[in-house]
Amino acid sequence: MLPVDVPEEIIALAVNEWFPLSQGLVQFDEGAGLAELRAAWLTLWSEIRTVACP
Amino acid sequence: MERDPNGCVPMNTTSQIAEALQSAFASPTRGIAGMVDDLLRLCPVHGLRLAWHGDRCRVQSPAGGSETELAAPLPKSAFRALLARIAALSNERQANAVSPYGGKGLIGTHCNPPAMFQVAFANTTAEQWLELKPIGANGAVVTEKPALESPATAQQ
Repeated sequence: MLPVDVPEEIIALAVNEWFPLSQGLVQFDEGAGLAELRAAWLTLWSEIRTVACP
Repeated sequence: MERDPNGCVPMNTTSQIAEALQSAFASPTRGIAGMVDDLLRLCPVHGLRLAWHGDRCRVQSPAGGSETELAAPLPKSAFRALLARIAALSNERQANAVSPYGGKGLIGTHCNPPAMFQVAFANTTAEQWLELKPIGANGAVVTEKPALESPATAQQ
């Protein structure tokens, strides 16, 4: 599992009527935050976590 | 809205279906999950096919074969997310029934009355389409009542 801390201003670019935050997932697409996410990627906090299968 | 015993909205032409879908997709109230709910609610009794062609979503009636383009600016990412939701619902009903990239499965609605649908779809970079067909409680594909014979036909 790879949790990443994405700044709210980048998340805001991915939110629209088809992908509202209330849906519980954020989808970064071309023209909707993907370029900005890629540009910021190396500066974002992230962590690789091992998940044990039940 | 009037619905038949299978929970489907009776609509006759592809353009009527497209118009209803366009309206639902243009202003979704609950994101992709809500769009899929609307799609199942609006699916006509003889089913429908949605396919992405040339930056547009096209609606086709399997029965009539005619095709109509959705005028609303539905993004391709939303259409692909809709297909991903269909895959998730298929696998919710039967584990590993379909892959995220396509397959055939069954999905049901929890509305009143509940409805069941046979689905087939592809969601790859090369093609994105969905075929949806209501099925009865016994698993049979729902068909419309045959048209009454006209006197001229009956005499032949």
